[in-house]
Amino acid sequence: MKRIQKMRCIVCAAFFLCLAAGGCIALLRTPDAVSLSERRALRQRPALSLEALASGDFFTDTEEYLLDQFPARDSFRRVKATVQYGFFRKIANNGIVIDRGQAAELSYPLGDKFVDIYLSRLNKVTDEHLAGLELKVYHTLIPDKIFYMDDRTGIPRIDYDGLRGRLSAEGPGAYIDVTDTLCLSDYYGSDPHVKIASMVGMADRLLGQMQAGRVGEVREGEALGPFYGAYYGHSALPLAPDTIVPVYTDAIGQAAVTRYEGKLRSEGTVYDFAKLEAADAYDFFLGGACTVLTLDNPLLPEGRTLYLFSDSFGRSLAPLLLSGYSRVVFYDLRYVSASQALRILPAENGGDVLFAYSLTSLAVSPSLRVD
Amino acid sequence: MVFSSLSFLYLFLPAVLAVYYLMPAAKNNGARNAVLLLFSLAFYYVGEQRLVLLMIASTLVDYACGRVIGELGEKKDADGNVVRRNWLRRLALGVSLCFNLGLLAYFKYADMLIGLANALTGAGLPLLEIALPIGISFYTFQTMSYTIDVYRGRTRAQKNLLTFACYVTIFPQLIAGPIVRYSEIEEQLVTRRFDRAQMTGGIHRFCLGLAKKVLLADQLAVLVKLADSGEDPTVLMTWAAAVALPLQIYYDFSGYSDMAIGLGAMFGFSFPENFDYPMSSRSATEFWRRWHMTLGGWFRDYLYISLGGNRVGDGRLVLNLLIVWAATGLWHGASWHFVLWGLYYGVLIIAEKLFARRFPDRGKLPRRILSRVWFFLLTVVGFQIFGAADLPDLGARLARLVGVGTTGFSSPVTLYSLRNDAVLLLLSLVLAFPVMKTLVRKAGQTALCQKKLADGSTLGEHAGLILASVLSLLALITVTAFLIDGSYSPFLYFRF
Repeated sequence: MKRIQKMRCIVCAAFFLCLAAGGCIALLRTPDAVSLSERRALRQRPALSLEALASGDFFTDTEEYLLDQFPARDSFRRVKATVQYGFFRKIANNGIVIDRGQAAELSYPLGDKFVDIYLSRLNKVTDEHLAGLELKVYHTLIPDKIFYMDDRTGIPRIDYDGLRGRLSAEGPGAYIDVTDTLCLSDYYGSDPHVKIASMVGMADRLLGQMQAGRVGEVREGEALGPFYGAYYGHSALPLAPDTIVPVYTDAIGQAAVTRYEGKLRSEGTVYDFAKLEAADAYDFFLGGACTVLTLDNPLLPEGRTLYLFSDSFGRSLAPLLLSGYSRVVFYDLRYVSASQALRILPAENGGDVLFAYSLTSLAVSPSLRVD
Repeated sequence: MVFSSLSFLYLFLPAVLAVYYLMPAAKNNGARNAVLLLFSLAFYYVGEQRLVLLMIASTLVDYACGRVIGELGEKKDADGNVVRRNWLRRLALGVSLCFNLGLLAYFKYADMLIGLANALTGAGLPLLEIALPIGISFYTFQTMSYTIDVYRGRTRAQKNLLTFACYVTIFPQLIAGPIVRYSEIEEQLVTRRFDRAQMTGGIHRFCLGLAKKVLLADQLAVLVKLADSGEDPTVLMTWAAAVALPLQIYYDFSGYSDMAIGLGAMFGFSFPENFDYPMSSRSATEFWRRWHMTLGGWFRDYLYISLGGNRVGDGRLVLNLLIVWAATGLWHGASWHFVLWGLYYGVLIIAEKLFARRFPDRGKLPRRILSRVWFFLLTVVGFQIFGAADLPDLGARLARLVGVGTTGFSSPVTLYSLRNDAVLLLLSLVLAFPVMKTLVRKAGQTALCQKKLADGSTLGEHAGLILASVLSLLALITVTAFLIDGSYSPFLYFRF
């Protein structure tokens, strides 16, 4: 046989084997339950039935199953990200941009309607649910990473000056600007959140404006990790994992944490070391998402109470703010309505209220439950 | 099922290849044709379930009509001379045409006709809202070409139902072409054999088509979709999307044709070419010689020539061309803007036919470049008509091209999108012209590539095989990666 004919045989056989092997492995392997990198459940093998065959559902389900369970799936996702960034020179893959090792999600454009909804929802909390109480109300917005990214990356960013103007003019209470207390490296590289040690300046600014003192002396604990943040899987690139460095203040060292989930009440901790092994290691802070929780500071028994309406960023911020209060009550209106939350733990006269949401929450403000 | 899906690539294709090549090639490829038929019906069933019966009915009707036209329509008289029973032949042809056009009228054009009737009479008839069976425009045109060719005596009627059914349903070209005429593969249906060179060529062609579809067309679609969403209606974005749209449709459709031709080659068929760098055209006439060539050829042979072709006066020629191009537009979709799209090219071609004689193209380089740029602009406008949802949308699209209804010349989103897609757009533009083809041809002509090796083949053949195989493997891996990571992947020509 001619050499070139042999080569053609090899090409044909290799092509067939690649396809057949990919299909066989995808069908025969034990399906994964979840994708750790994407933090989601994966499709399981579709059930074969006459109804599913007749309706065509079986075929669409099979395709979805293959997409989720294809062998070396994460490596293929990485190939795509590499081709997008490296070959096509894209700025973003799956909406994720990367600048100086920092992954961020595009937040632009932010429609005015989302700002309208956000403001109306926060104002509804103060005007309806906190009406009649003697409370000092404050409001801040935690910027997303893109605010601090280099202009040369070409990433469009929202008009922060205009947004700040609207929030301070139309938002509830006094607006506290914290944008100058952070920089790009203060964020985790693979996650949207700010490192807790880097939030001290922001916490000091907030406490100062709320006339609640300062965070005080801060000691950093041992770096824990590796921490693969939310963007690690989303970007599909081999980003360097972060570490979580807990910080300790006198208040954090003495804090008592109580979590409320409906009628259930449980004791918690500021740092939940067991959660470092969870799908989202950011649950390390205050044990993860919770509808309502309290942090009590025995070092300030006669101090005021802070009612903090926030999102996941608040789980890092709340322990730092505890230095200035005897109690911080943290409400997460993404998981519970304002009326239910305030039934679980009502606000009382003489306290402070702080709305501290991230830009991400503002962009999805319709999900804030203020009924 | 679409070619750019994991279930096709990694389940269906290896399964059909394995079973097909396990079957003996003897006895007119009967066993292999049976395998192709069964897998093709399964392929269609995955996408359309019960409507597979419609395709089977179309196959049976055209098989029967072909037999009647070819055999029962002729009888021998007492002297042994063949006498044609033309009434029977015409009847059978009429049945075939009515059945196929009836299918199209009902499934594709019913609502358009009802809308027209409502507009003219104010009757207020409710629309039927029937889902269009996948590929109906392709397989009805194929089967009509068969019965017409048998009637015209250009091909013999196929006696073997299995062979004929294999021709109609064969999955590579079933749902988005190219429109393969029976006469083009009549012999291949019974005599084709495994050929290594054809098989490897098919693999390379298939992977090339896959890459064009998934890596270029689907990504261009994101830019086009962003512009269509109206979130950033700037002049620059409108023009970027207007340039991206014909490129998207070109890579989408030509990619599918490449995959179909490649798959055909894997099973021993030589399907006709469907695209030949249409974006490099300098006139509408040239464009339609290069774009969807099998459809253009179909309308030329079965409609234009039937109407008298070129051998008529100028007035009749204009009328014939308008009819053909209105029909070509209508084939693409049951909407008036498709008719307008067809007529747009019809008018350009008429103008070229009438005026080009007076202004012969001397072919100097600046003029060639200018005419290409000029015709590309005409293509951009033409595909705005094609891409419009309806006539009002078309008006809005054309208005935005000249700045009416836009929010300004540019915006941060526009600049970001253009920067994000700059390489993609540039690459898509360059590859739409025969640059690579010319380079490969010239490289193949060099002394080094022509150097003979010990086995009689050339160094160029070896290098070409290795290079094409490596690139195909890379394309397959990258396409798989893009599919797994969930890129946007519509097949535009499914709606036809």
